[in-house]
Amino acid sequence: MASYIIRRLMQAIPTLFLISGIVFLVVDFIPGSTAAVMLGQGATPEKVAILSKQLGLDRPMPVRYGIWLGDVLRGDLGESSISRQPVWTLVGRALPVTLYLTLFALFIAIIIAIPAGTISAIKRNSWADLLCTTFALLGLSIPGFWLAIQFVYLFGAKLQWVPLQGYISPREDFVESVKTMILPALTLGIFLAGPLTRYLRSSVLQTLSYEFVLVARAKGLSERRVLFSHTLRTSLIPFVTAVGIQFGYLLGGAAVIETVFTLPGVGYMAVNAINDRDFPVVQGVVLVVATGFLLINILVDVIYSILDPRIRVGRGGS
Amino acid sequence: MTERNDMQILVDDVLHGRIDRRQLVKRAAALGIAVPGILALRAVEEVSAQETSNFPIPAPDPAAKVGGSLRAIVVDDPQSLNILVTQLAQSRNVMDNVYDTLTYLDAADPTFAIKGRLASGWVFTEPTKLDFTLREGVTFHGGETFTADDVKWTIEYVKNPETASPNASILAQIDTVEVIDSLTVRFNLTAPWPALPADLSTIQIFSKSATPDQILSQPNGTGPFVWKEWVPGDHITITKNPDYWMTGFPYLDEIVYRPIKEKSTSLAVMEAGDADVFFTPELKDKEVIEGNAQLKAAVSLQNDMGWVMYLNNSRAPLNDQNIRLAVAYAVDRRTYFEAFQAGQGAKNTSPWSDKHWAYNAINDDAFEYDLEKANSYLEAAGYVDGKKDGEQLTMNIVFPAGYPELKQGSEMFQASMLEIGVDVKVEELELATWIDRIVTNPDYDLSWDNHAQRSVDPAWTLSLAFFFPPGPQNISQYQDEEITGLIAAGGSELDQAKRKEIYDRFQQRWNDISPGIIVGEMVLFHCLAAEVEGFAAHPLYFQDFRTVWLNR
Repeated sequence: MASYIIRRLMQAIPTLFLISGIVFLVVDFIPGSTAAVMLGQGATPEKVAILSKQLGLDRPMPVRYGIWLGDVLRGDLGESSISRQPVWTLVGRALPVTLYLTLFALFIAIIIAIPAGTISAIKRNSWADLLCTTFALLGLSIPGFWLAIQFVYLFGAKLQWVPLQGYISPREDFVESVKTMILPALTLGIFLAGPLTRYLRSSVLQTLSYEFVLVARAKGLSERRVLFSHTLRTSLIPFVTAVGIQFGYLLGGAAVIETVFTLPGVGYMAVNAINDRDFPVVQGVVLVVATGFLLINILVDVIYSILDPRIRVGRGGS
Repeated sequence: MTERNDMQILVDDVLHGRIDRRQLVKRAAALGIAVPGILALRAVEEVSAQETSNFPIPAPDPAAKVGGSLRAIVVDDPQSLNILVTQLAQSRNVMDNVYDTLTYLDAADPTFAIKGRLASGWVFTEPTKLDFTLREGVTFHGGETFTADDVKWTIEYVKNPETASPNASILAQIDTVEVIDSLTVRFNLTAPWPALPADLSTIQIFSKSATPDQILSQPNGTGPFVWKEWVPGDHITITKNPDYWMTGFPYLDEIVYRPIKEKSTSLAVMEAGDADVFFTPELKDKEVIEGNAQLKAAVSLQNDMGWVMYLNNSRAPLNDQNIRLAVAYAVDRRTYFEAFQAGQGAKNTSPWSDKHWAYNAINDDAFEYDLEKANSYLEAAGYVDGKKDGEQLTMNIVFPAGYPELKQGSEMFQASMLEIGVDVKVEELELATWIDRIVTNPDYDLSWDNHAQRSVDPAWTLSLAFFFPPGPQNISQYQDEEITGLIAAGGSELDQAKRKEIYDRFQQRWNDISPGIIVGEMVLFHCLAAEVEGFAAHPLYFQDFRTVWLNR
């Protein structure tokens, strides 16, 4: 197991190089520059050139990438061209917000998806199945930003059930932080619950067709026991994998929700940095999110092998 | 006796009718100046007599409640803390409270009068010499004493090409800045420029000890609030300056700015009572705000801002005057304001409000929407049904994202042009790309933007990049000697009647050749919590919180 983890970590390094290089290239090709954004309508070519030189952005792209890479290897992600604050500080501030949001959203998604997916599978083709499947489809289809705006208006402005004050850290005030995070987490959770419900439904249906379930019933076990002790437990293995992968995507994909609710997470920071052409921040966010995604994938593989003894990772395993 | 005193005596004699014309000519010749120069100096003296009024430090309002934290919503984080380099509203809303300017536009005055802030007064000692008297006892937040050296340093910093400040062009008439003593500074001009006190209301004064890093990370001004912290994406906090030279001000303990991109979210936050100020809501929400007892709309006392369209005069097809005039008649200005600005604002093809003295009445009915006339100009350019020699006439119109009314207006324009056979491509661009396409690497035919200063000195209005100067700073890149000559003449003429003639001619010429489209004036308003008092909406977003207090 240890050698497997080490091998996966080593494989991740060239992947991260490749990702950072591609992003550097892509961002460099986008029209506009940090200097132009700062100057606004006063961004004549001469003034942009002067300001770009002051920001070190006049050097050729390969030179800038090389300098950046060298700094990263020394543990320095540089500083924001706009705020002049260290990228590590900015990312360090934003990452807990995104983690909090995604974990909260996943929690909501799981507590919806598990009962919905299970009921949908065991009562296949019934009204309950139709209801759960429709809900799952709606969750997938409704644009997240639209749902977010409706929630803000209804629960925040009209009913005033939750504050709309942005982010409060749970360490600062746990109850208030839950109140400020419940709407964004619910929005994201509903969106996630859709595919997870459908995934679990398929998994349960498949498991129900296995022989060991038939044997369990033949042994005279109650349907409840067949479901919870045998079927669900086995069905949850691929479900956990799906949850892990969703979590990885969410780290970078919660940008829309973070923007609508003005949560200062990595997604919101990345969007702003791209708009402002704040290259050091873009690179820093991409590196951190990509690293997180790769680590989560390794973790999911490890958990999968723990849950399913038939799966062995490392020497001789898959 | 000094030459200045001989000249002053001569002017005084003229003013008081103590000499006849023959004596005037003889004495003027002895001083080496022509009679018109004396009369110009007399006009300056008359102007100076008004502008040497003392601007006393205002007294605090005894009814104002002191204390409290004001929560303000801005649309985005500042793109830079260097207020002399960036011109975006979100920077101005914040930084104008950390710094002071020599003069300021009083947004609470219906005439938008220019008054003294760090300057207690000023005088044109000669048409090209403007002396400012500075206030005593002012200190920067870092502890340095404010003196004339700081003013000199700041102006030279702005004018230095290495600073790349867009404000350099509005200070182009300043030749040198001279420190007369610690509290007197003289601006030596290349030509008379009565609008300079107004121009200086947009130039924040930095300490001469400022460094590039400090300017960008720890702003140090003389303003009513001290820079505390910036958590990008979350908030900016500025706190009360306990040693502010305006005794008794500010009333607030602190201001916390939160960036919220979505305007619908911002309005919801205001309705929930979780913020006190929301800058520039959507116009369609004005009635909602006014109908909510917890909120109120703070409307700018004059419609100082307007919508314009840059026309790229440097390339086909809009380098052709006939095409530009066709476009001018194909923009349905009245419908734009009715349909997409919730009836707020109005068509106005003049650079100035129709109440402004410089307004030319030819604009009352200029460029009324008329597709037939538009088509006739196309035909004059050689196009029939939008085609010339088999080539289809096409053009693009660009605008920054985040303004749904611009998208709607563009699509309306596209539909109108299609009726006369012209293909228009509508492109909504994110901010950085839009700036690149219209200024840095121009690649556009038409672009929306707003322009300001419709209610102030005309020389100030025409210093904006929409009108002036010729060259890269002029986004439309038009070249017309008559227009640039009229702008220069109007700026240096001191007689208002003569200036009126010049600006009437300017507006005629502008309408004749249409180097850019002036669509109309817009209503600027902000959303406030009902408890916010003392707030006056600044037309240029240099929002002043000195006089604001919370009635709770």
